[in-house]
Amino acid sequence: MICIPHDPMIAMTRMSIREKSTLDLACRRILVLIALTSLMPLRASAEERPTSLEILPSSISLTGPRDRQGIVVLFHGEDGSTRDVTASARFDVKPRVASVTSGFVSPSEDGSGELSVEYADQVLRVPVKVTGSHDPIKLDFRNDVLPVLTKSGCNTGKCHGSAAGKDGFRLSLFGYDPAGDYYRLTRETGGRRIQLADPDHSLLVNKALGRVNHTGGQLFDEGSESHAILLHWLTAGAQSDAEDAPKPTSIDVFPPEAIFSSSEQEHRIVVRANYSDGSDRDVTRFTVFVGNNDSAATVSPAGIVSSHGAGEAFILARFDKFTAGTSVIVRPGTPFHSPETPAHNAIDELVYEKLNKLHVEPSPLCSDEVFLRRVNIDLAGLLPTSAEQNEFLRDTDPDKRTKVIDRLLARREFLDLWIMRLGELLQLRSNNGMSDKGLLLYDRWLRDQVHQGKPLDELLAELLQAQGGTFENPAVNYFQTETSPQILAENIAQVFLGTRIQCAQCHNHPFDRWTMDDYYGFASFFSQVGYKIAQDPRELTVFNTGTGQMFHPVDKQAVAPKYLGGEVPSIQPGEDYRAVLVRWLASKENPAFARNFANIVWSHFFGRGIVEPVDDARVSNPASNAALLNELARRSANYKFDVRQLARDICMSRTYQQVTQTNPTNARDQRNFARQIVRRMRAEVLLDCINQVTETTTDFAGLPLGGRAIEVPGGRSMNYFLETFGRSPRSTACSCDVKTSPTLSQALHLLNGETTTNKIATGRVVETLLAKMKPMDVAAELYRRCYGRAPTAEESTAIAQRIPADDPRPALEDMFWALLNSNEFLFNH
Amino acid sequence: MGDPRTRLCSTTDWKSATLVLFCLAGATRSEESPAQPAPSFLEVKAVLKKHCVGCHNAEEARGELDLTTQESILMGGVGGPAAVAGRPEESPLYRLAAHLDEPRMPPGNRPRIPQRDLALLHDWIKAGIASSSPPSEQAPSREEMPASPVQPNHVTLVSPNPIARPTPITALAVHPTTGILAVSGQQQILLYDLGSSTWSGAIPFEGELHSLRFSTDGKILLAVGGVGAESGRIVGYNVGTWTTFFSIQDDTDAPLSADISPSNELVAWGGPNRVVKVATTKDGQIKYTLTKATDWVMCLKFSPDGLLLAYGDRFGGLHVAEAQSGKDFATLRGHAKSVTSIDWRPDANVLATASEDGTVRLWDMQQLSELTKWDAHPEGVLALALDAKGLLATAGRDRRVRSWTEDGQLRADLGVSQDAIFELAINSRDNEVVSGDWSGRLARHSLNDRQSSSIDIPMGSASPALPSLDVPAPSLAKVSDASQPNRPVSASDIDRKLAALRAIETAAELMKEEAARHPNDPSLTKAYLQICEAAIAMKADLFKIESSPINTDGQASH
Repeated sequence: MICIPHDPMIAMTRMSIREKSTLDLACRRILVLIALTSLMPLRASAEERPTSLEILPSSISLTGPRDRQGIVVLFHGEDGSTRDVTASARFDVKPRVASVTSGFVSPSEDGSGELSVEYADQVLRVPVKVTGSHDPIKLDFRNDVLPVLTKSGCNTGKCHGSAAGKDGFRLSLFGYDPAGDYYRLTRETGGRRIQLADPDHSLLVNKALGRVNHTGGQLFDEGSESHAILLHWLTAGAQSDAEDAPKPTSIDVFPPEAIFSSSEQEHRIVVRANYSDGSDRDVTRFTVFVGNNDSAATVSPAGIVSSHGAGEAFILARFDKFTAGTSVIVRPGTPFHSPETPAHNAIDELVYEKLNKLHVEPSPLCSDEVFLRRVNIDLAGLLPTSAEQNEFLRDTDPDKRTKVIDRLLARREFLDLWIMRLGELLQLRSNNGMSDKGLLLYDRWLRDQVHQGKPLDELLAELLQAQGGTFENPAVNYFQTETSPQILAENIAQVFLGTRIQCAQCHNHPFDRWTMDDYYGFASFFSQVGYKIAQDPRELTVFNTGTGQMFHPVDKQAVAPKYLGGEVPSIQPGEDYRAVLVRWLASKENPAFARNFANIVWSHFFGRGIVEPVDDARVSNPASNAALLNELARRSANYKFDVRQLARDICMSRTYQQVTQTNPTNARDQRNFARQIVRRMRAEVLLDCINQVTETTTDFAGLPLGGRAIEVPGGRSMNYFLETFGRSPRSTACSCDVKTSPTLSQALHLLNGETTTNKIATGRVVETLLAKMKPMDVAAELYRRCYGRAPTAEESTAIAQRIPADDPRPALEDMFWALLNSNEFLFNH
Repeated sequence: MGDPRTRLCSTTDWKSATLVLFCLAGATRSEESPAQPAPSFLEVKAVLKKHCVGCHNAEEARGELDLTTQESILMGGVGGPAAVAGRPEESPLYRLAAHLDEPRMPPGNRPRIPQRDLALLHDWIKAGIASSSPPSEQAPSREEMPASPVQPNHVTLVSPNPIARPTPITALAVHPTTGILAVSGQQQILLYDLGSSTWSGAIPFEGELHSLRFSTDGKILLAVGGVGAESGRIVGYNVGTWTTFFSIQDDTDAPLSADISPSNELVAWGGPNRVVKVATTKDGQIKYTLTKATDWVMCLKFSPDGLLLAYGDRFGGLHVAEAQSGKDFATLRGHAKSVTSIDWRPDANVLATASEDGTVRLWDMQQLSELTKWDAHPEGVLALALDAKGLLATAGRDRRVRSWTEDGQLRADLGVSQDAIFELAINSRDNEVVSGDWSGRLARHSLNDRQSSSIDIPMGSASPALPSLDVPAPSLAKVSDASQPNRPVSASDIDRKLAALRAIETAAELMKEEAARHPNDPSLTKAYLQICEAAIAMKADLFKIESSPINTDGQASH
């Protein structure tokens, strides 16, 4: 293994420059030497020949005199890394319809030609089409002026894009309302902001250039293109856009993926906008770039990405109302040989594919003890008994792990865990005057449906178009939990499509694809839900009114129902809008549903989703492993959303069965599942496990004696332990409602609270065990109960020293208390 | 006194000693250079205005600090005096601007102000602040500062300068008796004789015009405007001779509205800084300020009897003050949006206001209550005028000019223009209304035959040359050899710089102690400051290296 250099290397990248000492410097020199020597043989065999060269975009169309197109010449190395070699490539256009400088194609004459790109003895060709190269320049407000304002940051939330504006001037946030921005710039105040007779003395120009006092300072330079665009537009009369002016319809970002072989490298990003008239433009210089992990890679305002340290980053590009991005991988830059880790199933293959890209090695398989404890907690919410442990450890069947998984999945508990999760997703709780009767009926209904084997898609179909009284048809309760169409739409999007659209209620989402049109189109599905009080005043009747519409707040027009990220469906007269929604929700046309389902299930077994947070999939927060998520989604749909079958696949994978211990390559990575993640047990499961090992019960309101914490209905726990350990109050649809982060009160409660001490006392476990076995065997039994393993030799010696032979009970109970307070008990690992 | 150099060298390591010596040498050199004259407050004012006054002015005064006058700087804010004469190193004004102390100014991670400006502040404080010009004798309060009277001078009426291209009409007034129309032009006030329908000339005016108004007696033409967010000018011209009667400079912003009292003794103006200032026309001294407006002051007008002053703001606020004392008289609630225009009935008993909320409201000034209101231009009323004969004319975003009876009955639609009409005036002599719209169209609307006709503004014949629009080629990613990652800044380079910075910081500390021990030796203080500056420059340099290329976007926040 050549992992000796890894450790100091990682330590160094973490360290800020200030902290470096000469010692580090010496280390670094040695490292470079090691790296160079180990690279020598590789270089000799690879030589300097690209394994493949790529030109992006693959065709170039220039429309009008100002249209340009930037090109990215990508060199794909043998090791899968990419290099931007645009600056070293040679360009030629024949016939000469266009010229190329700095990888920027400019029109010369109308016509068609071919751009040839030469690099390292390879030549590639892409077609070039030029039209309107000598047409007069005409600037649009939305397509030319507004991008200048957005790029300069004028309409951000902390500047003029704030709801109240800034210093008396308001713009729409990131330009979601071009017509309103045009109005405010030109006509809101008669002559203050622009001067048509003398454009260069317009306040707009003076402020942006910092010529006069401006809170935002100088935004661009005198004589810059941005300055010239404002002047040109003002000089031409600050005209509003024609009705038929082209509108941007989408953006493309090149390259979609960059894999840096080491730090200190650069890639250029080119952004192309496509317009409604079929034309396209290079809008890189008016695109706002934002990176999400500066320690791996940063992006300059011009779109140059620089790698800094090993890791992943996502570079978000925003232009007009569109967001897209480039995913960036930065490798550590040290030699890497892909390990031949055996895959248990397709999940492992897809995980390793990604790990190889990152140059990360997976951790080894966990021991039988660890596996049994882990899988019991995850599939049953309980710890394995010592009898189960003995049986499993003695079993010599090579398929014994599979057998355990199947046995656990067949138990009722796994579905109870799933019902608890569904209860959180549906916010099953008493709210908006929901009576206890309604709540219990609703909880019972959900429990019955799942235990009867109803797949999630069918369950939702019934729920989302439910009609009638909340008592007579408990599914109706979903519409009592939230009653506003907007919040219903937000919740459905967040919980079942895994995306948060809340931002788009007031403005286009700045970091995602959602626009206000999407938001109100989706909310419109719930615009015809009617309510009335039933005969029993505690009961609410929900029905389809057949009338009612959502109105767009910007243009005040009615918005037709539109699938989120999908089409505007055709709706028959009199049809319940919700039925139309259900038709699409879990269908093949909506892959987001299956992806979200798979992600939620996955996160149960790893403590984090492939998209994390699970309900916040965004353009700017993509899946850490899209191929894996898609495969799981495909399987989910095939399994008809049967959670047990998907859980089985996951538990069978080697990825799930890895140890939590790290190796030098995966120590800093939690996103790519190169090891298991240490997870604190959820509040409900933890309490059940404490009850299990102490042989006690807890009284829960609404449950019979002996009921389990995972079955508690509603959002009110009425139990101090559950509240302290972060049981979800189910007050919002957010996955963040379940908390597993440690707090001081949790530690204090375990140390001093009644749960541990009282339960040890009332359960009399030690006393009972002592009647049957020797004190040291009791200690071993307690270890197996709590940790799923026997004490080590060292631990046994330490325990033996502390247990007095005459009265072992108090000492053993103290040890039991200590076990319950330890991290090894509280965590699933 | 011991030689600080030897002491410094003995207490720091050798690597840094050279640097310290270098700095001290620099300090000595500049000390020996011929003494430059202390900067004037005018120069300092320009610096402050560029970087500080946006937040620290008489109206806004963040941290209760007003940096517009010498006195207010000495008075300081919540943290005490902003400057101590002769001691820049003890003056927060300098220390915060030099980033020697928190909070760094200007705030919000903005860069330090340029070294040249910083040095100017330093030298000005060093030179003693007030000693450069005598403090005002009457020790005026802070509101009384911005205005400075200018001696009357002669203005020759020139022939109108053709306007390059159509531009919104932003100001318009008609003389009460002679039919002279004054209208905003490009850097000029255009004068038109409505009687003979001819252009009679133009008065040059620097900056944009935001309001024109003839005094009640017709003797003075009041013009107000300036450069937005930079400076304002309030000028009174003697009608006929067109000489300057008074001229007042307001260094905060270009006012949007102004009026002169019926007696011609007071002039009032207001604008985006939300304050109405009232000055005497005799000497330009501020008499009082009105601060009830919560948004831009859009319009203001003295009552015809000279007793009251009404002003409206962009938030819909409408306030009335006593014209002589500035005491609040009334706040009239009703308008939901910007109050755009204001006028009085000649008997001063009724106030008429127009608003973006689409209504015109009449107010009973005896009862201080709303008399009546009506929807005059639903998209927003932008201009309103009342005349002695009881005529009420309005114009608005719907491009229409309308006349009304006093109880809100539409008398007549007087015409439709090409764009929103922002300006309106009544020409009582010829029984007509003159309007100016956003597209630059100037029109007269007869009340007799309800016909409209355009008044052609002198325009340049050449079509405007559009500025060139080059598309700059972008920068490219540097190509790195796969086997040898490019390192623009070597680690050893940074380490060297860090060691030097540490040394220079130590030196600065020592020098500070030394200077404190010898308060009478200015050379020590100066040396200390220079070391500090060097340290700051090095820090900035290091920061640049560490964080380059830095994502200066900062737009991720939402």
